[in-house]
Amino acid sequence: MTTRLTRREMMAGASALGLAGAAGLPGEAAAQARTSINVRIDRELANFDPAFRSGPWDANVMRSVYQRLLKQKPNSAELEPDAAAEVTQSSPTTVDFRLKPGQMFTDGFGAMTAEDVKFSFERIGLPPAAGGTPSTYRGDWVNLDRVEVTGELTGRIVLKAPRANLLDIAVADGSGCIVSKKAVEAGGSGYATKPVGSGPFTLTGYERQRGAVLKRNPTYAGPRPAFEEIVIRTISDPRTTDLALRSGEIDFAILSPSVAEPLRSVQGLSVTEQPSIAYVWMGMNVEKGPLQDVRVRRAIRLALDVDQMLAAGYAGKAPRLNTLLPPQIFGHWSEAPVYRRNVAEARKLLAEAGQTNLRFRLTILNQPAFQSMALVAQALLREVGIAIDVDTQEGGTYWSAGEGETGKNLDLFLLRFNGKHDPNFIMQWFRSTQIGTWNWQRWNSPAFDKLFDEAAGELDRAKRRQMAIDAQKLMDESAAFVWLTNEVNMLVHRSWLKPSALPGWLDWQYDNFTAA
Amino acid sequence: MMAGLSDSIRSGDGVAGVLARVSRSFTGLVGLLIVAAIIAIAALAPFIAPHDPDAIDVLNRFSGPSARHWLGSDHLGRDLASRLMHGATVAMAVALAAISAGLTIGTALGILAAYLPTRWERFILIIFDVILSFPSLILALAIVAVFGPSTVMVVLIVAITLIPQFGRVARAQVLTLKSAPFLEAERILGASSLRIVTSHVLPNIVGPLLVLASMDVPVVITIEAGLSFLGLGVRPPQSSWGTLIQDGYQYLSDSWIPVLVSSVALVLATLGFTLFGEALRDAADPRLNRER
Repeated sequence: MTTRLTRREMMAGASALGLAGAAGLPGEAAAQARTSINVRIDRELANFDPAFRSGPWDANVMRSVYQRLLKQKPNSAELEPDAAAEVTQSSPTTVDFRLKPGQMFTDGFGAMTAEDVKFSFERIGLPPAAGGTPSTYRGDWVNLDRVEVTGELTGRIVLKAPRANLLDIAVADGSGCIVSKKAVEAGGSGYATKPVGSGPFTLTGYERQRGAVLKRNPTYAGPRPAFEEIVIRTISDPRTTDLALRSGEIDFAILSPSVAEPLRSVQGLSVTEQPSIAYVWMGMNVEKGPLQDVRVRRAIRLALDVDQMLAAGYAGKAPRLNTLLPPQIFGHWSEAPVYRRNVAEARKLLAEAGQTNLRFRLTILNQPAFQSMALVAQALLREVGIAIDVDTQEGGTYWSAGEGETGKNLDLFLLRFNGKHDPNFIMQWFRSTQIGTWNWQRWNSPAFDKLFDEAAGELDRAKRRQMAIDAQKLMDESAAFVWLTNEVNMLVHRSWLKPSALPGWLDWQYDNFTAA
Repeated sequence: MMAGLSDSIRSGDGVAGVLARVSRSFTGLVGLLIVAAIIAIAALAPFIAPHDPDAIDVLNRFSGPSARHWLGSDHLGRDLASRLMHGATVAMAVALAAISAGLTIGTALGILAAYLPTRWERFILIIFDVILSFPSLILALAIVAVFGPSTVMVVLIVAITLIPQFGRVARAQVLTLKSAPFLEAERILGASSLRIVTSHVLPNIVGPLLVLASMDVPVVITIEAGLSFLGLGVRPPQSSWGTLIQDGYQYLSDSWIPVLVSSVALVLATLGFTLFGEALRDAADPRLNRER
């Protein structure tokens, strides 16, 4: 069923757009005439199998193709039933569900059953059969013991220990997508790019490095999406995206402030902004040389001027972040200290530590915002006698810089992670078990690990919030992190288009896009 | 063919004489003036640049041209004029270092190839062919991937790519000279090979090699700018025309001045050195002189 997205199809779409523009259709009429929209993403789509997706960009497609037991309401993180008629927490370790009847998988794979739900969750959360590859998202289903099938449409999720974020992180997110057991078994390795779901759209075209086409699924039991077709275009370069928006080739893109701001003056385009839940910080390897001394780390934190770095990196548009969890996330520490630049104090700390003529390498990704911030940091640290060599790396090298033995050689680095609406999801990368993987600071705090585990299983919200705050206090005391920003998303789209996403604008709800 | 320059140098005609001949044509004069200006700016940048090229002033980013910032400031508020001048220093330093290294090593290998037994000659020529078979940018990417980017790496990469060019020309020149009667006479009189090479061969082949070197300057400047543009050249915050263009490109919607001025500098440098090199070649070619 899946067809290739040909150059001719792309050209035809672009020409149709051009003709519409040339005909001088007013915005509203153009919107009514449109059955298809062109969406830009900056990363390559790679794998639509929920167990092996490569990131949020694949998950955006998955949420359109598959159903979940629960899903988020439009423009909200609040949950509502999707494939399930009912989901109830019957005990701290069990969740019962009942599916709506008659939800059909595409390509003739029949109606969804509780057996499909069991298969979908267990293939991610449980160890694979001998010789199988474990899912890269196994952590989403941590504590899963089994899924029991109690009827054709009913079942029970059984956990080994209570979990506070089961619904947000597992059931209603990418790892909660319900696949057809028969389709996965029949699809083999080709399933990754030929997904079979029961959601609002079906994937009808996919081409590496070019993008994908989603078409409305006629058999979808839920509300009909406003657009017949969503064309997803992979355009990594922001400058090319700018031109594509101006020419009408694409209708929707997320851009950095420096690229998005000038588009405000382009007629027919709307530019809106929202703080992101992606978080950016300068990390320090606490195992490396002079950085082992907390006084050196505190001196670096005091020598930096976060506001100046943000002015350079994000044209002053991005909000300052003072702790790990951004303000939109449950468990945010609102009273976290706001460090101001204090050169005298920084010098004093370095003198106490007996350190002079320090030289560190600052590893960054080759993105303009990081390069600008790194240069400002270099100039600021020079004033307290710390020389910085900025090591700009391209994606492949950069993202493996903290791994294994290589990670021991890191000094300072700028890092950006995508968040989710859950404190444990965000905190997980700083546990001691992540040293050599994503804990590039190599920060080993048993107290943090303990708080993380307790918060993961704590169902009392007030207690859980306090645990998250206490964990952030430990991070502050370590001085291994200089929090910079949770960034700002600048959304540029045609004025007639009304997009929909979870707060933070990482997870897009294409099925809820409408014509304004 | 181009022994004229060697003759000029040996006959004491001197650099002034050569430059006078270069400036006889209009294009030669334009080239000479541009080259002189660029070399002067490059040499004097630390003294004539109005600001520290690395001084950041984020509050005044993208300020337009003014008495304080002649060409305005960049995305970090650094003075563009100062960065452009220091960029000239980097371009000239890289060109001088890389071409000197390439010229020295290439000429030495070329002379060796001409004098050593066939086996060794073949070996050296194969090395030249191997280096030439790599597109210079691919070679640069490979070397930078292994050793990391730095100004020294840029010099090394450019020098390596230049070695075969100089080597081949040097070898061809020596082969034509080798059987010249005056060298035969020297040998019969008992002069050592070293003395023959240093006193007779080198002065006779240096002219064409210097012309070739001057023609290579624009190539080296663009390679350095290209590598720096790709983030594989000079390290920040050091300024290079390539990094200036890259930074300007990233913030093109905020200001077009950085891209424009750094591109114009690059174009002028390339044009100037090309015109100068061609005029130098013509001035050095006795046959062309006779035609005039």
